[in-house]
Amino acid sequence: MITDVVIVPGAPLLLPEYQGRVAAVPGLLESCVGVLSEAVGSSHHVVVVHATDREARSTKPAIGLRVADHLLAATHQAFEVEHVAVAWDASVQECMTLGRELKSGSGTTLLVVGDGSARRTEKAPGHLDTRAADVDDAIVAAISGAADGDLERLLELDPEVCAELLVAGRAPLQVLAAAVSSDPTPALASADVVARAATSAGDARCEVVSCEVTDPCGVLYVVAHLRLH
Amino acid sequence: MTGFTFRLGSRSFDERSRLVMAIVNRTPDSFYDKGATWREDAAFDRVREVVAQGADIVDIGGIKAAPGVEIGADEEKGRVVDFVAAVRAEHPDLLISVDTWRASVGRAVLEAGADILNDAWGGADPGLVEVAGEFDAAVVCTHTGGVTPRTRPHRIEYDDVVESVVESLVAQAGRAVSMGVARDRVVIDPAHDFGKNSWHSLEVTRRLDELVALGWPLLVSLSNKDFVGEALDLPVGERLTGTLAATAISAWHGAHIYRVHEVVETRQVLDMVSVITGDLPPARTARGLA
Repeated sequence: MITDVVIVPGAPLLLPEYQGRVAAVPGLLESCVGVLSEAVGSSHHVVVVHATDREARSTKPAIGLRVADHLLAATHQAFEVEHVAVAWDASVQECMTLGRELKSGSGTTLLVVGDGSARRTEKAPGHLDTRAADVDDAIVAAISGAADGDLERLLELDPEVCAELLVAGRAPLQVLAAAVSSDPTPALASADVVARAATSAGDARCEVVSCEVTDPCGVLYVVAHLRLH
Repeated sequence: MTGFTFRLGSRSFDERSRLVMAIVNRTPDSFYDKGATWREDAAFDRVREVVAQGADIVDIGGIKAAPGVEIGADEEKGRVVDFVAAVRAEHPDLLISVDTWRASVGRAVLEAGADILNDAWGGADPGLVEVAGEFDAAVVCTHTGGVTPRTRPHRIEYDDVVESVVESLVAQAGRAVSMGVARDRVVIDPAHDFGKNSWHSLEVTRRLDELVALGWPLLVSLSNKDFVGEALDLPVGERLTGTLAATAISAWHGAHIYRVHEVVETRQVLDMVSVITGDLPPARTARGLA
């Protein structure tokens, strides 16, 4: 079963090949590695969920996969790693199917590579879109409210809006939501999800160990560790 | 690049290094600063400033290169020896070079704590390298075409100026080693403008890779010189941009040490070239990577 979930940004500035003399975002790499090290301490198995690149222009592996592998290597711990790629523009249904089918042995850590909007400020990679804040707030609320059963709210993220807002993590986060859902057949994103979540008594199985949120470059980065019991 | 290391003082550098040597004149009449650091307190301030700006080496000189009032060895020592000792006391880790052709001055400044003897007049005093060897100091060998110290070139021609530079520098470097200077403490300098018209200095700059290929650390002294001024028809005081262009070309060719007046601008140019060549990572990169 999945015992831990770690969420990290898929920013290429975390990769060694893009390191300058000083880190572009001081502390981000250390934060990711620290959280991941803590989570995989007792894991024998790590499942990486990452999106394909939105604008792939090379034969290199997807950036999210490379970020995950780099972070995992930096933990200096031994475990089996399985990579699960989800198309960056996969439908919610496809994400849910993928999430439900994730194989998890005993003591599996799910490493989800994905971030929020890259359109949070005028200097952001995608320039400012005023809708970004609300969507990002919803993502953060769902993750930080995981103990209250809010992860399923990630399934409400609209693929088209997220594509417009350059939310690179939408599909992987929806795979996560389906994978850890206590409901064997989570509903499609719709009003009834909201209604159900609102009446939920919470998810006693899930503990939010940590959840750091930053946007130093106009992109929402979430570094989070959830523990499932 | 031939893959070697060199030593200055207690520090070691590889062939990818690009070091800034800041000029500190203890003269009342040098061409560029016109005596700005003649007063001792001004000279100390200059050292502090260039250290703060990132200079790796200071090059202290007591006699201007151009013709002028004769300065004897005692007068030269009076200008630089105590100053070197005081700079050494205040900056224990700073690499200190002294620009002198006289062995007696060389001995005195090495006793006072200098690391490098910059023999800007091409071995005019053959005893200088012996002193360097005795103190395990570094020495800069320069090409002047054999002219007398403090004279300007007049109607000098070469069949091939770079060939003359190579021949002279290889001979001087070899002699320095034979006199006891450590192989990795010998620096070569084609000496732009010294024994050269501007055509010569420009050709040396253009073909600097041939000097880098010799496998000795290469110093270039380009700062605000006449070959820059004549290339652009600009007087002293308006030659920084041209100097920096020549600096960038020299850096691209692989020169290692840059003797300069303007430290900040030179450091930026050298770092930029080092980043372009891949010898140095960029300072910080987030563009397109967030």
